[in-house]
Amino acid sequence: MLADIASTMLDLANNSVRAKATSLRIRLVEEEDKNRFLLWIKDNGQGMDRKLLEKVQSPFFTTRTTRKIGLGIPFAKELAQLCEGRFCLKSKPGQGTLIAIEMKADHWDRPPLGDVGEALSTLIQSAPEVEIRFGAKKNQKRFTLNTTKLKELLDGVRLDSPDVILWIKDYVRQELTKIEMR
Amino acid sequence: MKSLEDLKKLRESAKRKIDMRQGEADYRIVVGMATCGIAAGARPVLNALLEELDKNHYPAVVTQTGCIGMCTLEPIVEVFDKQGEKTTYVLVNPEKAREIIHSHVGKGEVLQKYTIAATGK
Ligand SMILES: Nc1ncnc2c1ncn2[C@@H]1O[C@H](COP(=O)(O)OP(=O)(O)OP(=O)(O)O)[C@@H](O)[C@H]1O
Ligand SMILES: [Mg+2]
Repeated sequence: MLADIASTMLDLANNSVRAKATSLRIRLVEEEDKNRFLLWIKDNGQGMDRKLLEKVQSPFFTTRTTRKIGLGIPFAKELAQLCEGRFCLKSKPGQGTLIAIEMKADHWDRPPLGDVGEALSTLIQSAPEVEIRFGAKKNQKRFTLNTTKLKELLDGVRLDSPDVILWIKDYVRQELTKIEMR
Repeated sequence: MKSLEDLKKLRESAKRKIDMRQGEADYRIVVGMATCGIAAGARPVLNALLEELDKNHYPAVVTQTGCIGMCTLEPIVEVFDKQGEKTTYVLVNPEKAREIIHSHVGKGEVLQKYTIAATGK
């Protein structure tokens, strides 16, 4: 399992990028009254057929050629199970994939949130051409970030320039602190 | 305090003009960011590289890749020079990453002690 939720988020989003998604939605939701923490990622990438979908959930299948086992999805599944939550993976070839990990927010084994600002900026740096819509919700407070909007504001300056990526990291960190997600 | 207004300032910053003149980069730096890389700490390594690049205007671009195939040696940073010559740095952390970029990209000197060759593998 990865050390924190931010790392899991980045790792699963990387799967979507590798599946040639052009649009990616990521949500982090924490509801204290329901003692629930949710990580939700939806992409419009190439998707998986039923056979592949089954395979990837058994440890540790991969279509990578550099090593024989895939770690990302088994880790995600393990995380949900360990935290007495739920794991959901839905996919349709040619349409996309949805992955959701629900955890008991106060569970012993629930990893810390980690640095979501750095995870998100890293994701954007690797795939500036993908439209990424990120949303975080803690109880009633929200924060959203949309890379298409950022691009409009940047007006021709590359989204993946180092100074822009570093700014995104700090901005997301700041805004998540404001909604008290940590 | 950061606000979306900052992006307009970034747009007009002097740095931007330097970037444009720099044109093509002399070095390409590649960081492995598959599950194995992330687990080993590749994310802060990438971030440290971007910070140094931003501070020093080194003629380099940083990109990410998937699994390089040596998971136990992650985080891995590969530096390609203009001739396509590759140097592989292994077991990198943010501090080593800063040293590597200062030496290799800043001064053009390969930092032998952190290369895969130095590990004997
Ligand atoms: N969002 C997705 N869209 C399409 N295919 C996917 C998606 N996520 C995973 N897959 C498929 O499932 C396989 C297993 O994914 P998993 O994340 O477990 O391992 P991996 O990405 O291959 O390697 P690792 O994550 O360990 O670097 C992938 O190789 C890919 O074929
Ligand atoms: Mg993966």
